Amino acid sequence: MAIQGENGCRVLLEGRTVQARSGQTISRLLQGRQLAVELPCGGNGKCGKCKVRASGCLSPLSREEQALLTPAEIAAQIRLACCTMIEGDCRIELIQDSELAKIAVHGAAAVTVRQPRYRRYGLAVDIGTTTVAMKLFDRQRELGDHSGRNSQSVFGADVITRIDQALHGRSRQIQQVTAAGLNEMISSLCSACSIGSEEIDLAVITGNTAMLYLLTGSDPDCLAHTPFIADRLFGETVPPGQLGLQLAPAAQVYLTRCLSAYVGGDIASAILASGITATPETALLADIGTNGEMALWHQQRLLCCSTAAGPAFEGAEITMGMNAVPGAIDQLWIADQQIACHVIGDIAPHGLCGSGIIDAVSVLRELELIQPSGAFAKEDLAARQLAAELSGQPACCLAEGVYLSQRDIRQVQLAKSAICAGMRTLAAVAGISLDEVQTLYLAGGFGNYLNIASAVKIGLLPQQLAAKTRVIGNAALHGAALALTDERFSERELLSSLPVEVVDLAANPVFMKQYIGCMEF
Amino acid sequence: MGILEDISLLLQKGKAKKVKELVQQAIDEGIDAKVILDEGLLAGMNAVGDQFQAGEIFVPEVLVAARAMNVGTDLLKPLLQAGKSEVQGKVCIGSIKGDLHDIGKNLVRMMMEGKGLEVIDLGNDVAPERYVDTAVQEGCNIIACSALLTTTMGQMQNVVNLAKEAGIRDKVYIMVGGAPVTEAFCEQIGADKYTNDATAAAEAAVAYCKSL
Ligand code: B12
Ligand code: FES
Repeated sequence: MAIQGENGCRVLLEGRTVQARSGQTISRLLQGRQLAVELPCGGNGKCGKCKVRASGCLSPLSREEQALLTPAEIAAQIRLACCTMIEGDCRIELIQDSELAKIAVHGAAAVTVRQPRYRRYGLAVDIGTTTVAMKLFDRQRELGDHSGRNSQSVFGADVITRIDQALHGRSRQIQQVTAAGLNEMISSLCSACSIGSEEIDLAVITGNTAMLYLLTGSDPDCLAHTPFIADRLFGETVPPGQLGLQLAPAAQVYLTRCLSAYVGGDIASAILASGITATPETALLADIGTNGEMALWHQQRLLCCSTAAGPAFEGAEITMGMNAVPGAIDQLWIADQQIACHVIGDIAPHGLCGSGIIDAVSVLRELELIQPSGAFAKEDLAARQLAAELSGQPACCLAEGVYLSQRDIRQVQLAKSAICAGMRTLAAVAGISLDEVQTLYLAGGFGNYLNIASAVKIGLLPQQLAAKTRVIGNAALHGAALALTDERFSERELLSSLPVEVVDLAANPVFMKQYIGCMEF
Repeated sequence: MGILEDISLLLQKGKAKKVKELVQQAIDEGIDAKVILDEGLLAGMNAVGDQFQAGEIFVPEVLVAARAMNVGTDLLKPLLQAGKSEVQGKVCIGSIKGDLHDIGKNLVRMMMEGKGLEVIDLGNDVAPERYVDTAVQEGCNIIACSALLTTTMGQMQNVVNLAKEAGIRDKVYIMVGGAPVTEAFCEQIGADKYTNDATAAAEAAVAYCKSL
């Protein structure tokens, strides 16, 4: 193979020839081109999810790849994009599912335009860590919505990994990739509604604190280490040009108010949209995502916290975890004492998405194949001929070719316990028992797909709240839309009038006790 | 040697009260404190470490077992000091500056104690200077740093640098761990050992101390 230039390499990438620098990792090359290969662990060689098919002049298999790839994958020229260096001419094909989960807008309640703050067209946006969702309005009604993967995912799956990248000199790049991703979505939403994006004169953008930091290119150092005190909480208007958003030149962008470093504008917006603080009832609101934010409204007190559950319910920490795309098992149940499942797209299963993971653990508990401690009941597993091995771990076969390992179950325990313990801690701080909670609102995309009974069975949600749970979908987006379409809904004023207390779980002994206690099933 | 085996088994089940009773009984029966420690408590904790590594037990079980071990060692301590038992090695451990996650760090400490090492726990949010100062003052053989945040693990580099500056780099074995840490990172910052679980961490620490 001819090596070009000094250290330039020719890479055949998805059928096109591009130039790369020798010594560059595949992930860096793809990031530079905004190609969608996700780096769940931020390119640390830990998660084994950044698979591509690559051949030619490449660095030898790294230790991480040897540990994370199966012999069959190695034979099929699968490599980890973050571990493989381009050393000369080569060929790269993307194999990740680029289809995105349409979870983001779903369930956000319809919004009636009352007293719009914009002159012609208004846009409400929720920048979630994983997905971005938006709605477009004219002065009469909602015109349409759109959702897609957050283009920042190429910098890591969770906010901390992205913050770390920003602190290592990529702040501008992340800002630009975020804006470019938003612009692309705005433009396709606008063309679907037959308007031009330059006709939008107001956008209300919500998101967690880190998302707003990265969008505005603010220095996120204060979000990176203890004591985690955000020096910017937003609730402010900026010109779109400052963010690189293509709206009307004189348009305004309002960034919603955050409550703390890890209780962001999205959860604040969801609280207001849910209306809990306008009633005398005791209510709990939770977003079962990576950050696991939640709030308890009780006797004129609003207690909030963030439980850092991790991305297990998005499939990221689970060996065969995947997005809710064709091939993912999204439901499991017991039929005739056997495990039965539904696969998205009705094709052969090749993994589990979040709702499937929770169902799987619930089903295995029901069949007593997992003990209350979380350990497999090895003999019963063997007796049912379900015992298997996955990445060197004992595992259970759920369906042809799909397994859940002991380590996966441990990850589920760490995550579900964080959510449940967070709820118990808020109740304890308020001095009540969870029985007193009248309604549990589940916000966020995941709530729509979650089987509540399974979630209760595995102890993700407290038993007492099983029958009191209401799924409200993307309430953050709903809140942003309310702020946009109703002048009387002043989110900043509402928030500043509320007695908000952010509970720091790291310093809370009740949380630690509950966290250990809730790990059992 | 029924009673020592019983102590070990009860410890594995986390039965602190029973462990305490049996350790007292063993002392009363005149069994050497060092033998009770090694063949009862530490043997039990070793088994706990193995089960944890195999995924058969998890964080809560390790915590209750460690509590049972501590109840037992508290009873033995005065007797051991009198007989001057040889300590295998001394470790200072902590969660790195900026990080308050400490469950993993605590497990590593417990497993190390379960191997008979003396461990000084510096807690969390520990500045690099504190590890190094403690190692100098207390004559530690090992510095162990835990980080759970991608943004705090970089601080571990400073621990390695400060140890060099203090002139103790060749005298301390620097171990690093926590979910985002990798072997490659360990090599990159010039630390000595990474393991991905607490049992392996304790084993590596003992292996190093024995090599001295
Ligand atoms: C529990 C938890 C918390 C608790 C911490 C309680 C406590 N006292 O420790 C609370 C709720 C307070 C918390 C807060 C935060 N958390 Co947190 N938390 C977790 C969680 C759910 C579990 C971590 C854990 O305890 N694991 C179990 C232990 C046993 O594992 P381990 O620590 O890895 O240790 C093992 C090995 O690594 C090894 N080991 C550990 N240390 C050492 C040291 C040496 C020397 C060696 C050799 C080996 C070794 O041995 C151990 C046992 O085998 C994880 C997510 C997850 N599911 O993993 C997030 C997670 C770690 N948290 C995260 C974040 C972002 C935070 C916050 C910054 C933000 C937030 N959302 O609130 C805050 C900041 C806290 C702070 N001030 O530092 C992120 C980090 C992301 C990243 N890429 O870095 C995670 C991964 C979740 C996520 N994806 O968002 N968190
Ligand atoms: S292994 Fe490459 S991103 Fe995680």
